[in-house]
Amino acid sequence: MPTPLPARDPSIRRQIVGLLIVAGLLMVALVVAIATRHDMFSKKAKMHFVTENATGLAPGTTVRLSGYHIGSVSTMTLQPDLKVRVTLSIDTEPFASLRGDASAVLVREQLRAPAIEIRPGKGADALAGDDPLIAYSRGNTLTEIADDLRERIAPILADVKEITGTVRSKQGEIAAVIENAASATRQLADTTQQLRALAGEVRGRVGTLGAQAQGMLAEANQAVARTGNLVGQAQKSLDTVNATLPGLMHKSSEMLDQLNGVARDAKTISASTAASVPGLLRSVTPLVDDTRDMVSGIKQAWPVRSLLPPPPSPLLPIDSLDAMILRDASIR
Amino acid sequence: MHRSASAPRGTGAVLLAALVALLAAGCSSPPARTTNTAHEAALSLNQRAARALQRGDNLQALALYEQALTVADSVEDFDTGGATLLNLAAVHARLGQTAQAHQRVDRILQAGGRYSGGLQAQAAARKALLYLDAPDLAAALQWADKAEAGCAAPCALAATLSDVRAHVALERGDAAAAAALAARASAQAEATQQSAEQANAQRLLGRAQMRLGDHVAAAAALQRALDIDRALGLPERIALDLLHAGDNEQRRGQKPAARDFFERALQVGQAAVLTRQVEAAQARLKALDAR
Repeated sequence: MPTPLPARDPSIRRQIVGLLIVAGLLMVALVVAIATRHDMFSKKAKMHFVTENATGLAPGTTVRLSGYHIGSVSTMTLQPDLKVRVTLSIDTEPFASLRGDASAVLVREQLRAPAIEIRPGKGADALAGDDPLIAYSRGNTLTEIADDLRERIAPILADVKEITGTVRSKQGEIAAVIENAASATRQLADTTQQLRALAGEVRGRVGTLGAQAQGMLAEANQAVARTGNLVGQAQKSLDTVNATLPGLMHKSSEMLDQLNGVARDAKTISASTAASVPGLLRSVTPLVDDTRDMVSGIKQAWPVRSLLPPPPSPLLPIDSLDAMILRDASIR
Repeated sequence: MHRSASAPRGTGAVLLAALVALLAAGCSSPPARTTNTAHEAALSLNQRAARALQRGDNLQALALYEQALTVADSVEDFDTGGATLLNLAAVHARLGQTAQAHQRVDRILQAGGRYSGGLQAQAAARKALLYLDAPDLAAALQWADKAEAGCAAPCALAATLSDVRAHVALERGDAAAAAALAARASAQAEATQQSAEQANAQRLLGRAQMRLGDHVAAAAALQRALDIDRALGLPERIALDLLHAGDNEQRRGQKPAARDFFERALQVGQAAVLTRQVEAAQARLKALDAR
């Protein structure tokens, strides 16, 4: 008779079987997880784009819609024309909401993995067909955006420098212009009064004249009345200038401080890798646009405009060294 | 009776006239505001493009000039559009895109009614420079003549056009004529305070005198070019001046002086990342060592 196994052997066997079952279950879970990650169980729609430069893209690159993960890059193929065909696999539900002019943009934010952001488009027709072609573009990096920003700030700063410099150096001149104009207006008002008095006197003296002379005097009186109105208008516009000029000058100084801050921000942005930078950039851009409009407004305002030198000609100066042959360093 | 009526009327008329004159003086309205935002935008884009060009970013400059042209065209702003076309031609030329450069300039030359005489003359001068590079020296001279004919006195293009002619003479082997034309260009540039062009003229004068064997005069001219370019802070031109000065010293057998100039050119080229100048200086130093 065979020797019976010790009493603990069945328990070991059960433990081994149990471990094998757990390992099997873990394996299945892993397979399911991998399959899920690769979107093998959900129903997927495909679309593609073709690009000359697929730098930053790889199978598995996240595809987002409004910042929400909806799929990934499934395949990338180098075509005979050396362009790369990139196929995106995305959920069917968001796919249904895409329009015919939908496009993909590569978003590269420093310190974060590149991702493709889908722009749904606004066309009347839905994106149709199996694996349709969409447009693709590469978004600017933060450095590029910051450079662009700085590029746009530079002319504003130049304008502000010119305006504030002019206004400060010519404050006395502006005051003199206003004083002269006001003085002229006062003289004009006096003359109008004299003219009115004269007209009244004449009317009294020539009361016995015929109808023709009376008609002429009536015309003269009308002219005097019209002149009086013009004097009033002139005084009004001078009052407006007097009232707004100090504010205008104050605003110029304030604006310069504000713009210096913007320029500093732009420099900080280009050097920074902080995650908060995109938000900062978004908030700075409208400020720059507003500032440009305000500065442009100041430039157009009288009397600043009349004091500013005319804008320089956009024409680049012509130079004989523009000819490449004259720049050729190899010629002896 | 009649006299008594006319006297007050005469006085009134005089007063009214005085009043109108006073109104004109005292109540002159502020200057009309420029409401042409497209014009302003085109100018602004031109300024941005010019800054890109200063940075050496030719492609960005090209893109911005294209935008400026589109904006100027949209409001038939021929002055800004014409200037932008000429700027585009200059950038195309820098990029070696000669056909496109000619196309831009031809648009001005073929629509004489739209663009001012000044722009037409500038376009002709640009043609001359393009043909200089072709190289089609006869065509370059023809266009230089056309540019001069269309340029109102005092002609701002005179020095540039004289330099073009000096270069053509030098290319044709007539160093004496080249020296005379370059000297004239230098005087014209000095009169119009075009320092960079004056340096170009002095550099050409130095090269012409070097060919004539007058090395002392050549050294003086090249030194004047160098002084101007250093004052202007233009590395590419400084390197050119140094290279030609080195050539001049080498031709008159002053090897140490030549080496010094070439080494200075090499340093300038390396500091300013001027590949061609660096290569040219290295080649000259190598040739100097081989002898």
